[in-house]
Amino acid sequence: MPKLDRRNFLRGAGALGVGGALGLGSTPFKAQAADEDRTRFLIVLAAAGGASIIDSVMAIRASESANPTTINTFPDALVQSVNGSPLRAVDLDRDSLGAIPFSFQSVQSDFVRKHYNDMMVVPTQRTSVNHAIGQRRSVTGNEIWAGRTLQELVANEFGADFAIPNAHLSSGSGFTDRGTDASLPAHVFGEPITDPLLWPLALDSSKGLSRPFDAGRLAKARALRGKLEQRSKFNQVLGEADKLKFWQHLRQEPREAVEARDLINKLLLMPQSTKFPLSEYGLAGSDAAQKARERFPLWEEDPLEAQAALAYLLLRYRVSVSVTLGPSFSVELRDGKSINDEGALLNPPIAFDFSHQGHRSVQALMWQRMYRVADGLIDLLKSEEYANGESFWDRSMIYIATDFGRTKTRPANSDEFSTGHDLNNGVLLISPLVNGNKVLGGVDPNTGLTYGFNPSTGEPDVGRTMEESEVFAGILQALGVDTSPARLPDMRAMRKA
Amino acid sequence: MFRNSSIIALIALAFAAGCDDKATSTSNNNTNNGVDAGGDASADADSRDPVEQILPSTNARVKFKGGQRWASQLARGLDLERSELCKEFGEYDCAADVHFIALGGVEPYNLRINEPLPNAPLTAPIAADRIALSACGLRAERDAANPADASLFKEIAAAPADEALRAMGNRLYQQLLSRDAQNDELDELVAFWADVEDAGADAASEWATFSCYAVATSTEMLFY
Repeated sequence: MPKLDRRNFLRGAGALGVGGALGLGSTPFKAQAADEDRTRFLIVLAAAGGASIIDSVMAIRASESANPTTINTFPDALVQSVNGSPLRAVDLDRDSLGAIPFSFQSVQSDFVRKHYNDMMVVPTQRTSVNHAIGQRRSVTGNEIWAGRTLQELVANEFGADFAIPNAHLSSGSGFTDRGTDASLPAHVFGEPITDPLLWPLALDSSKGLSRPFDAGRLAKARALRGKLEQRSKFNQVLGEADKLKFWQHLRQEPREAVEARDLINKLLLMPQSTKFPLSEYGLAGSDAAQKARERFPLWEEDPLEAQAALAYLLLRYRVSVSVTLGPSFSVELRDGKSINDEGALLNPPIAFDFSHQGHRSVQALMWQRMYRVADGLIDLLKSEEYANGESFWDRSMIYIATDFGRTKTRPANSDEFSTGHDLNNGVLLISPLVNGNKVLGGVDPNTGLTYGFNPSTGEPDVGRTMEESEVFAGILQALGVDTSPARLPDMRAMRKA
Repeated sequence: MFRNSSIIALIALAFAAGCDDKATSTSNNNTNNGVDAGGDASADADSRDPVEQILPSTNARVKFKGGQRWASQLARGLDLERSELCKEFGEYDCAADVHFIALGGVEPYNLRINEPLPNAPLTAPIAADRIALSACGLRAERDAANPADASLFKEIAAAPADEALRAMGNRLYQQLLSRDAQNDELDELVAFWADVEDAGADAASEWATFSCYAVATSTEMLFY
């Protein structure tokens, strides 16, 4: 029987309140109540700037379109089909990124060939072409569940026993906005991690400092602090302030929980080096960090790889049930390189949104970045046993969230062109929990616009578009989150049979 | 000894003033310490103090001071250069760099964080602990190495007397919280000696470090 602790109690109260408040129609989907371990992990891979679905898994061959020269179609030879799967891939070489001279190769087919059984494409019709709003709605389903985010809901459902249920490894975007439901317990809101390399140092009060501190005496000093605070007039007058009480709460059980698990050593990514002399500071790192560094070798240069490496550690050590990561809007270059150096560019300015300058090349490069990170995470999570022969990956989902789509047209026959923001698009979900090897709905090759599907059967429906709330519901339901309190629609077609 | 005499004096005062139980209880915790301008505690000051009743705010609101402001205040109080307060791996400034966002900083240019976090993250109190321990440890180490030139723990010695602990404790309050310590607060600091005594030759330094830590990370120091 599940224990009724503070977190469970608050969770139940929050869910009950919201369900009533929404007052929506009945819902057929309800997760099974079972004593089994239902823990699931959500990885939000935030494709900031507008990842166009027709530049990856829904790419259109020129021969399929009545308007091949003016719609964003590809020469047939560039669009790969994999093992008879409906999922597509674009493989191309470029020697510039918009106006930036930069040679690179994008081979999407490697990823699709490897993971197509776990890949599902869901068309969407978004409701805003504003970056911040589109990003936020991609994780709130356009505020359908009292403004709760997917990450908060997953943390609320599965994160009660996790030290930091909802980790935000990227910052400053709508993907990591705080939801608007204040009734949720505090621990489900995102913990910001702005520097994946040094952040783990903030997981222990005294380890890794320049001089050792006796743990027993530190505990007594904390007791002394409590006594001094009791006697302080400041505390006697203002002790009921929410911020004070919350601070005092954080420095007790939550702090003890992370310190007791030695997370500072487990989550530090870097090895012993002159730059990071771990042993000099009484630190050791972990074997799993070594594994993460091998899979993400640019961890020290590319912030996205550092985020991915730490995301793996957070999941593998059961610290978090939801991690959000993504490329920044800043130019990232290899250490010591200038933008004109061969292979120097890691991340273009404004990420996917640099498609304003060079759509085809930017989409190719950025999708390659997304796939590289997703591939690394999947491999690492597959290599870790969760329990009873099940891997962490068996319980995980990668949601490549994005702001919106890109415009579908181009000047006649242009190979590089500028695109704007478009409401029409689709998202990619990768997980053993979804209806894999599937493109739900479809794309009209004559317009480049995607269309929807029947939520129950998955049959394509040319006259239908999928709402943000439907994608939101389908993600939660595939993860086993009970969506009945919010009476979300049943998206049966998005779940594994 | 001090504590017992203080309590007896306060109870007597409370009865004399006809206070109810609640007022008596409150006044026990809030008697002025009777410390003179020179920073020396006076044991018999209690008997001169009026009884003060503290009423909790009915609309208590506080604001987090912010890591940068707190760190600057800490450096000034401990007579340390701001840059030597705390550095992770001896290189990365704790308050201005590594734990900057957790402690309420903003960084709009790269991180696109335009506003301080609305609520303290889990790591904020831990980051404050790290900064305070580093800074307090450094201050104690310097004062212990050269007591004649000590800036805070002037009476630091192998086995300081209660009076010496009270003097150091009061100076700690003056320099960090800009007020005198109350007698009952000094009583707690004196009693804390028993918790570090087993450190032997390092006991005084340990007392100084951890007493400083307790005050520096108190909510009174971190919020206003």
